Amino acid sequence: MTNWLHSTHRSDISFVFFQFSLSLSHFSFFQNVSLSACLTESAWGKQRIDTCAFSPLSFLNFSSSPLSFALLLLPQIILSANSKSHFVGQCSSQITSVFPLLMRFFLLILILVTRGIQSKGIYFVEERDGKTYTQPLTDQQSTKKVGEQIRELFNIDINPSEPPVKTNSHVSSYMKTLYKQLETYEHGETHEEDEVNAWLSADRIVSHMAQEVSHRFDDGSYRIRFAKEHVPSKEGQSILRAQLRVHIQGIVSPIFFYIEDTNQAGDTVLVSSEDPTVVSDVTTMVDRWSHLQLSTLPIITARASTENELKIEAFLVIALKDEEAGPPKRRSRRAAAASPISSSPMRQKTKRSESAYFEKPDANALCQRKGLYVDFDTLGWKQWVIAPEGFSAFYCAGACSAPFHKTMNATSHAIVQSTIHLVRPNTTSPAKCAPSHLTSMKILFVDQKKNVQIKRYRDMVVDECGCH
Amino acid sequence: MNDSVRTTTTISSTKSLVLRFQLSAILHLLLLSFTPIIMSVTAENHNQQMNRAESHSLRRGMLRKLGLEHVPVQTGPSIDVPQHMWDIYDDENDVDWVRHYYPKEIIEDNDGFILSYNLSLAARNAHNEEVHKAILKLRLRRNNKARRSGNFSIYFFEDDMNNDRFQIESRSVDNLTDWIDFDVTAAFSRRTDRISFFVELPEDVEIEETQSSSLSSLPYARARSAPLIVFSDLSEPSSVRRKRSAQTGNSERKNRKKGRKHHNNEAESNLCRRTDLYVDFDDLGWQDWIMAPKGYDAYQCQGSCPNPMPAHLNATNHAIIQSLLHSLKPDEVPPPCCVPTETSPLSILYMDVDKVIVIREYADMRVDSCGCR
Repeated sequence: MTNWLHSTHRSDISFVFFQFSLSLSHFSFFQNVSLSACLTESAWGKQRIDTCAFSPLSFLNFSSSPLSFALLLLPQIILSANSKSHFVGQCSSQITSVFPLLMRFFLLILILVTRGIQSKGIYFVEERDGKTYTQPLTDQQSTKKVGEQIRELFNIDINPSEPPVKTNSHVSSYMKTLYKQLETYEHGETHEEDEVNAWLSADRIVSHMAQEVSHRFDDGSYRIRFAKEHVPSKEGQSILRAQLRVHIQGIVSPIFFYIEDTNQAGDTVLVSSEDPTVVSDVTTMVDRWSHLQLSTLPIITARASTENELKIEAFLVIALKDEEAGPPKRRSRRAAAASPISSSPMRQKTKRSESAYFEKPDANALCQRKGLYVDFDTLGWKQWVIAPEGFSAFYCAGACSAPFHKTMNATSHAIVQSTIHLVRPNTTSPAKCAPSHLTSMKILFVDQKKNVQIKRYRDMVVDECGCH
Repeated sequence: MNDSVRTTTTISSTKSLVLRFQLSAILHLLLLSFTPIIMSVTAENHNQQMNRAESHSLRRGMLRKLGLEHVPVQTGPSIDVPQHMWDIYDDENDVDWVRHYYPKEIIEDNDGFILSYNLSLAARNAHNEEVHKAILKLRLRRNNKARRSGNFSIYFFEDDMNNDRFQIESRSVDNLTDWIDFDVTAAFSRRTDRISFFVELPEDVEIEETQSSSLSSLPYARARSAPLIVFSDLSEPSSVRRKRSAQTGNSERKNRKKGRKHHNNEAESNLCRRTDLYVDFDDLGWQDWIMAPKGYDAYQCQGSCPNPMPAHLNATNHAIIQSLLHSLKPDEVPPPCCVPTETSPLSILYMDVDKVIVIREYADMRVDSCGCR
């Protein structure tokens, strides 16, 4: 059975995509299944929807319970459609008001039609003639199994069966910005600045919201208290950078802001600010806490040169590096080519995916890089992993036989070994097609303790294949 | 009635059909019994041709790795590699590229000699080299045995066009029985295809005519007493090269230990690991351009990369995921491969065009360790 409904694609038909509100997904009879939906333009009256989009949907397996029918028909439905005029927002409200019954009817039909449609999970991607073709690799059951094993490999502290915890908006928005920034640096020029390099070479960047910020003391100071577990241990890792970010509400005029370690006098960071966000480097402070793990409480004293009571929110961002890990790998010339790590190939406009057109692997094909995409959404990570949505892992496949074309990146040893194989086939095998250069990837996620983290995984994405 | 007639005719026609079929079957069988022989003969031929073509293209591939378009064509008499080149070759010091030139021309002048060297090579990828040392070696002879010392000066010509010459070195030499080395690195500040030196010698001293065992090298008798040796580094950063001096010993030991572990556990013996592989250049038919070594321990990576991956196979994150996907869809996703993860270079000595002797270090020739990728 084909997994793609839109293989019936015709140019005069528009595609519309439905997404149920997330609240529905808490019911046990919902499963994560992706769904693509198609409706003709005429069904929407004057609404003109030009482009079809599709994305994962919390799909209802309603055969088990009639209750789900009722829930389904509740107006908890968000309809979104990508169109040339970007009317996503209005679209949902207008359509629900104009065609509430019609829409629910279609929805019902859709659900009937798409029962059994499987998730994308992990799929092959092939580019041919400027188009992208995809084919799912795994069915729903194995996707779940693979998801568990990949989670094990990623070793991230999340529990997909539980809803994610709410995080502070300052923290998550800052971490998102940092993540995006690092992504652009990663695929751009090398940076000489130490500051950027420190964040770039980190294996893990953790953020910790202060547990408590005191009221203003008489001397104009505030105590910002962190938890002991916020202090990173020195075991197997080193602290590259630590940054304290303070958000102040109620600044009327520029103030001076002092930050010092409550346990260690004389170590003051002075920040002059009229900006509501005060940023200061507290690497030495956190480093010291880490040394004296048990004997000190991680409390920072902040002093503001104003009589007014300020409302302060603070969090620490700490860049950590694993100790055993070697120096950061030399960035490849081709890194830019491998950049669509974070953008799902499914979301690009020109792209179509038809399993029927996907070419079977050619046994005679030469060693080359092939597309393989791992979608986090359908691994059940959507709510925990903020970015990326998935990643192009790629893989290497193909024959390593003479003549070695330039693109096959054969090593000298590979040529020697292949020649020996030709002369004395019993002594060795032909050269093998394997990644010759891999790049790392970062993921941004919320852990179970509400901390927003950026974690880097080495050698995750194939950048170049070659004969070894 | 009509029906019965029709039936008999059908039967008879069926009979004749069966007969015809039997005949043709016999014929076919006869034919078939020959075809395998014919086919096997052609297949063998075909295979041999394929093998020859493949081995030819592999040879070309290797030559290209060495920076050569084809095997350097040797003209003139064959000459041996002088001892001092063997010494450099045997020396453990890390040298990327050493070239040994004989002078193209030796012109006698009033008070010395002009030595001209043609520096062009068959190697193409020479643009990123950096000359870090150049030595002019001279073997001289004193006609007047009574005199004991004299002043020797080396000049180089900035330009072939004019005769401006710059002194590089001047010194007095007492003992003329052995090679005299002059450091002429200064002459290599810019890239050039041709370089000429002027050697100022005391009146009674001249270039020795080196005795050779083979008569055919007679035209080189004097040239062989004035070689120029150029040591260069390739500016391309090669992490592999640096590894050699510091790590080869370690990884060798590590690997030996690993190997022992595998032998102890039979179930693990088929896992990805480094195994022996000796390369005999004669065997590969490469002896015509590689003068040394005759062969070397290249090692190889063999074994499986199973799922789940044992920790000691030092698999990458990507390999772990790929092995997972392979276990789900064995036909569609290939398993990770057991390939070299650390390699070291090998120095090769070969004769380039114009009797230029080259020692060059080539990366990725020897496997130090294997892993699943």
